[in-house]
Amino acid sequence: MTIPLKTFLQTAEPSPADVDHFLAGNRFPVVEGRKVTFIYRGEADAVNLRCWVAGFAAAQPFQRLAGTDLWSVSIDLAPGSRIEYKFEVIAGGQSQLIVDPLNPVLADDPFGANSVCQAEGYERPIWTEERDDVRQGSWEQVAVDSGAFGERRNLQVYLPARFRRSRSYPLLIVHDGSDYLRYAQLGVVLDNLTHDLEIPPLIVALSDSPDRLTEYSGDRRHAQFICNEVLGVMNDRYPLIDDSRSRCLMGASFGAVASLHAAWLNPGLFDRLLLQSGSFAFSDIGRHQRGPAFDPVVAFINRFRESPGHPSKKVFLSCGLYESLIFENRSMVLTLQQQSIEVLLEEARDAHNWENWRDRLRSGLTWLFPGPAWMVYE
Amino acid sequence: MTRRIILGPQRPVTNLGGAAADLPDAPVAVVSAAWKEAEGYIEDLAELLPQKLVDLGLNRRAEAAFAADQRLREAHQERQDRLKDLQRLYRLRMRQLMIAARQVTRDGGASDLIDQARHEAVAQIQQLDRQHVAQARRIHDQFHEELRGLESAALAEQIHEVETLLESCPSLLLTGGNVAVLANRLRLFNDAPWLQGRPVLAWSAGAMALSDNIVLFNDHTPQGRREPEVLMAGAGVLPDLVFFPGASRRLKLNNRRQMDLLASRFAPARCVTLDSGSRLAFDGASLVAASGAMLIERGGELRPLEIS
Repeated sequence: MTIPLKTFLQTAEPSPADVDHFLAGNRFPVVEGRKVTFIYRGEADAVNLRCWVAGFAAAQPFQRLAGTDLWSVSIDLAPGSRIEYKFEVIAGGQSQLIVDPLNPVLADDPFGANSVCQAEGYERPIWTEERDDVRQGSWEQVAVDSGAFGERRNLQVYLPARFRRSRSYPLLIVHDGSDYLRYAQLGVVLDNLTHDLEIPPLIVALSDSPDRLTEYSGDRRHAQFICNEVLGVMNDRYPLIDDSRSRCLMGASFGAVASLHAAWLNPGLFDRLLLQSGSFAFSDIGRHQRGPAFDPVVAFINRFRESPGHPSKKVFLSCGLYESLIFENRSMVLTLQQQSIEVLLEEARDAHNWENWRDRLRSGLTWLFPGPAWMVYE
Repeated sequence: MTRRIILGPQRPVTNLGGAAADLPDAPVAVVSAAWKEAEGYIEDLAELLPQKLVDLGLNRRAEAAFAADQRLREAHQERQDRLKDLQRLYRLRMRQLMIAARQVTRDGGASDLIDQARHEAVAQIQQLDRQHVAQARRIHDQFHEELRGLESAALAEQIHEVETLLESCPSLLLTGGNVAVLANRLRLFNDAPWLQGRPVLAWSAGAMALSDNIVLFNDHTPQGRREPEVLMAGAGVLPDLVFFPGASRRLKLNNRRQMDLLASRFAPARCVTLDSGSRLAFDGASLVAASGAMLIERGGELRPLEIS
């Protein structure tokens, strides 16, 4: 029988067997409406909840349940939220960040994995999961001899199911492509949305950078690489629609900056942009506080805000409400709209992470590239 | 009188087989162009209908004609590009008019002024819809005028073969699927003569293609509601009706204000839902039997469609 959290926490000095029974009968963290309770079991001097949410104290201290090795902390979390977290366990003067041993839900990212807390109302979208009835696209490797970078770079190219050379396709170029594939299930999402006719079949070029903090921060070499070299190779090899409205640049975080920068330097080339949690930091007053990696980004965004020009005709933005970048992304909406650019900003109760970006892909892709579902009446 | 039978989506309820009993016991010509790449895969239909089925292969024939005649292909592509541009421009204007019509209805103030403003707002949408249909028709007509000049032997051969097949098929079956592809292919192959005077069984997209105007709709796109838009004129063999296949899935039927605007916009045509299991039978253009279909009334209420 499951022991409710409230009942258990009111138990005076529960035995180890009581603790075992409680842990076996519940899912963690325990979500009760807006109240979320995290539980850690183990010997420690202190335990903190660490989550990367702007405006929320970085470390939330756990309280030890008297007479046990059980620790708990409760927070208030709005419905539909999704946050990533770790436990900071301090023992013997040593501090260690670990995933929640009681929570099997993890989110991978390039730095490892975080535990995931899904508040009431959050559900992983079904279109992000592999389906047996959906035909998969195919993959090719394409080399680009880059004069801009003085070396060969490789692209992964996605061809939609039922690809035919006799047809022409829109082109999507994705920054941090391998991470989008691995951590945001981009391949599965493309397969599903294409199958459901929510987007047209797309050809997708996935690009990676060996030094993204430099190359994605407003680097002219990168813009040349994307707009001349990648686009040139893709045009040579694949049947693409020769129309700027059928070309899209996409990226998250610095990848969004790189997309905007490349389009800004080459107006009329990419009339679709999909920018997720863009690191659009600027400094109207004084110096920015985001560290030296942001210096070139701030320099570019400041220039962009002074003369935005017409980098694109249609721009989808998404950003988590729990990111410090939400202000900069909201500011971007007005800047773009003043240039008569069609803009859609989707905000989510999430933070700066790949699953947030994954969950927004359907809105972004279907808005920029509406599929034939609108025309299909079966 | 010519019998026309209209059905809703064939899933989850499949009522095609029963409806086919109303067709003559003779080969049935099938237009499955709306299935695009899957055109011609009619084995499942053959299990449901007792009649012999002959797929007309309009997509395949069109592609063959385009491959054989470059000028035809280019002229067709140019027409498609113009139609796409037209649809986009129409959509831009229509969306603003729809916003205005809704805001007027929600606004406070003297009721007589609101009624008048609303009436005029709807009239503006109707006018734009009419203009759009007329402009699309002109583009189609220009294309067919161009076709006559091209004297495409490749297309003429395909049309002749279709007409030959039709000689042995007294009735026609139009499937659901992509309504734009279906309507375009029907038009390319001179559908008007062979739809007139021939019994037709059609479901979903096939039904839409038979009405005066083809109206696209979906209140549940990933971005939420998208305003219904007129695509182009249909074949017009079932006049004064607008069909909404899968309406309970695609429309917010409980939103009375929205349904009122829909019904008002397309009046005097009647807005009819076609959910799975629905069945309508017409003799000529007269409704003679109805089950499962609902009429969306001005005021936003729904009531079963009945024979008048």
